Amino acid sequence: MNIPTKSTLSAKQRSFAYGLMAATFDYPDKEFTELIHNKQLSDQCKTILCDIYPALKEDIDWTLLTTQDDKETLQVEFSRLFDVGASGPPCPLNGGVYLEERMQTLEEMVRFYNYFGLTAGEDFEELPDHITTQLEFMHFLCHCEDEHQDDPEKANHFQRAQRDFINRHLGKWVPQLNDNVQENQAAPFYLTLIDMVTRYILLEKQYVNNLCGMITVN
Amino acid sequence: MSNNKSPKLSRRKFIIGAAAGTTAVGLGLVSLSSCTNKPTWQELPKILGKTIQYDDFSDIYREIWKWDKVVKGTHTRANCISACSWDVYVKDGIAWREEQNAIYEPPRPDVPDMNPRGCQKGACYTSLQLSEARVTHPLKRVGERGGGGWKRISWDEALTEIADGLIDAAVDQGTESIIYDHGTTNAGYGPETAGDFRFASAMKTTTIDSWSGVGDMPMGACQTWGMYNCEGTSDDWFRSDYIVIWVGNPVYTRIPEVHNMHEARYKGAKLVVVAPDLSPSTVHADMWLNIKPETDAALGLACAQVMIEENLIKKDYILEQTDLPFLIRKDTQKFLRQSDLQADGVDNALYFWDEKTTKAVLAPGCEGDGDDGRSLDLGNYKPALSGNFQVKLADGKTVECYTVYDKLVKQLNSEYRPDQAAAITGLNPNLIRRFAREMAAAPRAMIFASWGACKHYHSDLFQRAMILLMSLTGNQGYPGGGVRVAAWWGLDGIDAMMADIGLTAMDQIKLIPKAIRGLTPRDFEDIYTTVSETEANTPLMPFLYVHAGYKEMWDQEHLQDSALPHNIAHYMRESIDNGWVKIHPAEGVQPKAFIFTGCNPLRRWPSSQIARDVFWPKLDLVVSVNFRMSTSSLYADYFLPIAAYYEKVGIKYGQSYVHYLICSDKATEPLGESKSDWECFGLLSKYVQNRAKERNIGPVEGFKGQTHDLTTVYDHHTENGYYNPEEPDDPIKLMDKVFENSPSVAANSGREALDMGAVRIIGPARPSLIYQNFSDYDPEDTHWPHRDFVEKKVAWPTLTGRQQFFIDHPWYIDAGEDMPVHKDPPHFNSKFPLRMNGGHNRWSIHAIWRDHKLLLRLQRGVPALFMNPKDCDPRDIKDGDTVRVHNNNGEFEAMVKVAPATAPGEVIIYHAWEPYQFKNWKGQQEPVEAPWKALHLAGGYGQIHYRMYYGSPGHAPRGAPVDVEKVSSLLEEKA
Ligand code: SF4
Repeated sequence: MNIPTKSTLSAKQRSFAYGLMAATFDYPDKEFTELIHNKQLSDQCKTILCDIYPALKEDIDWTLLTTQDDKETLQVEFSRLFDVGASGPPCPLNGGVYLEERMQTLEEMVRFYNYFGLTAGEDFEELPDHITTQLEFMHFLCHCEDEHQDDPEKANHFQRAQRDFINRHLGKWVPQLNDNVQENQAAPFYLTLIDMVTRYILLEKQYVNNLCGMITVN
Repeated sequence: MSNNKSPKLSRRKFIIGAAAGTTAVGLGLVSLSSCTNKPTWQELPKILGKTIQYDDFSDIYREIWKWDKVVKGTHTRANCISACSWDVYVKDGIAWREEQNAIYEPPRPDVPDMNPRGCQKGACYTSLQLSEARVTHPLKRVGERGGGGWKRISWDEALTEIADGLIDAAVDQGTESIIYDHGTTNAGYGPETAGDFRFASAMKTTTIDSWSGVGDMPMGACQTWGMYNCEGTSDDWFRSDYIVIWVGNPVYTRIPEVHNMHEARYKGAKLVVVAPDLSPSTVHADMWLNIKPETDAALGLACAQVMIEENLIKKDYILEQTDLPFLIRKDTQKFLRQSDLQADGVDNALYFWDEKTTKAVLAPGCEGDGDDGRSLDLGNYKPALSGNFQVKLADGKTVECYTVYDKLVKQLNSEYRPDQAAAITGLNPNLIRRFAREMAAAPRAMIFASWGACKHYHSDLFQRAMILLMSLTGNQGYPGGGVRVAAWWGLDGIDAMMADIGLTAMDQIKLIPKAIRGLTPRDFEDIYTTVSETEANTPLMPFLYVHAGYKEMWDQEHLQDSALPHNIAHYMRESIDNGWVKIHPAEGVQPKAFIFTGCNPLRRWPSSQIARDVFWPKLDLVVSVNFRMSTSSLYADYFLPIAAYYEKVGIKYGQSYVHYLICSDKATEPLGESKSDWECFGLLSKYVQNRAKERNIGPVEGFKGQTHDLTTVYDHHTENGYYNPEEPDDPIKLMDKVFENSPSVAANSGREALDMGAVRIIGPARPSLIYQNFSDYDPEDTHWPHRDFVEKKVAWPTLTGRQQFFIDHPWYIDAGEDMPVHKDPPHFNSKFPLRMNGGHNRWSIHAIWRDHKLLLRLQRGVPALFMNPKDCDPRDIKDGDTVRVHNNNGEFEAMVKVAPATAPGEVIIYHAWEPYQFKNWKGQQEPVEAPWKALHLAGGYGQIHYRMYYGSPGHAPRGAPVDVEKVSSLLEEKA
């Protein structure tokens, strides 16, 4: 697919897409399961993400994001993949686990967040390198970009931050997460979910690289 | 990213929200601003817009990294046999790194200071507590046990269901059918442990006494001294002139302490290692005795023979401090007793021959001396060490008596001359002589024998021989001298850990007359025994035998001591019938529920496949309380996530090595939904009480068949509401009580102690269940054990009141162990040619650190065992190959490290790999039958008895007979 080389995609939409993807990693409680069963989650993801990157329409079998697996089946699968296992779950959702030095990754997360006036704080639900936290940070950066749409120079600061955050983090480890869920024969719902996020992140990586130019990431 | 309190609900809006373009909402991240009017997340971009300049990621590294706070922390339940204070650095709610504190003052200028203290495990705990093995939500099993199916549930659901399960067990089979095990990560001195103790006590559960169960009970010390605390501060090692590391590897296992041994060499001390392998401690030694495994008693006895024959012994010390001058009847081969001499005489009054009066006289200090056996002061007596003596009995008969010393000498001269010992130990006789002479000549000699010296079948005999050497040379009780294993600091206020201390008012009144005269070590031992019997404490090995399916294995012929006339089943029966060993729940009562914290039974117990296949199916409820997923937790029904060490306050158990008590402050909030142990167990009691009320549960059968009211469990746990474990400061309230009542340490409150991190010991404390060192503490000196006995002539808590080498208990006589001897273990003639040994290692203490990536990088990264090339070559085994280790009992596979430092015939696999790290989850314990000594079930004799944390059969995994065969080569693996 042709990825725009200029800032043509709506930052607001992209921000929303990140917020939406972060929401899909919630533990499947009753309400969340309902959103899966009644296709709301699948429809919303398809609508929002394909609106930004139309190629995703064909790349992903969106029907698999709807399943009638009951709540407990989904919970057990979530816990098997992401929560618990010998020496940890087979597919941790914490990015630092996939990269060289976990503590170093965490430090960089906190530096990123702090630089932009944020913290995961004392009461955070997840660690700073958790996929939810990272996606929400992208959601925030895109939101900031959108807030400065009238001032491209200012907006560009936030675009560059997106570029670095994706290249150094999400774009690096989410594909590994994707490999892991495949190796561990995840249920179709989670296979598709992670595949969707991976594809989206990789498209985003190209987009923000196009906008800001690649930099040496190491 | 706003002040919204519920990120989850906010997130949902993205899915429910109609379309892109919906205003962004607040999520997990929050504004960093510390101004009073915090901007909301939505306002933040505008504020940032004015200030943010971001070119590339290097910008984020330009900001100075500032810590939010630095607190004093430690590793409270790691059971690392040490205690070190660390500065823990915190930012943004995360503990990032720890740095060793250097806050310890030496007690005197001529010994090394203790700065800094720590080990590589402690140095990476920040990363361990964030590792992916951490579990942060309560979990419930779905599907079969061990099947890997889990789902998160709320604390409320978990506690309700567990409480119901515990109540069901109590209604069905009584509260003793609920088994509680705090296992090998053991106990701290504060709220990190008090919660589970209080829960177990309030519930009247069976409590597994794992001390000896994990093989940490120095039974030879119990048999000889009536106690096993025998250590001081590690700077006292520096004062030794001759340090013998004997069954131990302190370079691995005493990392913060071992420098004292090495520094002692700079002032002329000699360091000797007795070990089959060229262990990492050996590389620092001046002399290495590469002894054949499990022949240590023979070496000790040969040294004793040399010392006696060459008159290198300290006679005055021996006469006062040992039973060697005591009289033995030649006809019965038992002590001469008052009941022999007088019709109304007692059995526990014993005699020596007084050379002045030429009469057998009642030995002062023995149990039945008529003065409560208080003092060793010989007054005008001059005991004979040797000779044949005629003694007239009550029935008019005259019998010939000789001394324990004579019995010893006869035995040594006939069986343990150096050339005879050489045939057993594989050591050159001249080397044995040299070793004995050097040890005897040293002004101060000590033997460092670690917990590993408790894990062989005949460890007690090793220890009796070692203590004999330290007695013959007059070293026990002096600085830089004696046998050293371990000891703990006393802390009077530690009683606060329990809701009550166990002694009834009547018991306490009975103690008053004794207390007025001053309680003796023997009085304290009586108190501990009484306290122990107020709760359902049961030692692990007998528990496994009776309840967990181990009887079939341990009754097998090849695991028996051939010197004994009966199978272990016979001794077990007799011991239970005599009330010597305590079995809870009683035979015939089914264990129904198992709750464990800080331990990992399916890794640690011998042949843990038996526990998994026989014990587990008996249980209706298995609950793991832990901060990480262990093998045992993977087989649990519920998992309750516990705060990690830096996420709660606590008092590290007081290892006596350091002149401080180490406390751990709370650096960060518990991760995810985890809770402190104090809160978790408080809640468990609360839910049991509430559910019992809601379900109208009447009295159930409790401890020893007494009734127990489950509707008061929480009241008991909290001392009728004095504590409220859900209050964040409640654990500090408990610590306040501990420190307010502990004059032996420098802090007066919990907060003060936490701020200090390392709290100076300033004086002696009274003994407790785990502390009986019997040495006054002088803040301006090093500390060493057993001073009271040699300085104040206090009687030892044994039948004879002395270090006792002759034990005329009938079982000991049957076994040929009435005196220290060398015996081959049951597996001596096994057809399996190799002997598997192990020990703690450099990279982990227990399984907690075993699969930690940072530490795995420093070793092979997978379970590995060490073998000598002489054993590898005939089996075509190359370095890195995978081998199968097997015997008739079990098998496992591991990588081989070919190591000439390993003794031929030996397989060394270090401690605590998780079974899930092995193929098919078959762990290193599968072939380990770990037979144990029937003698350790004995009781009814002076110091030979059981009470909680004292005197019961140990887990004896060392020397397991195995063979090894190659499975695949490293190249094949790679392919
Ligand atoms: S020895 Fe124990 S207390 Fe000291 S650093 Fe290591 S784990 Fe921590």
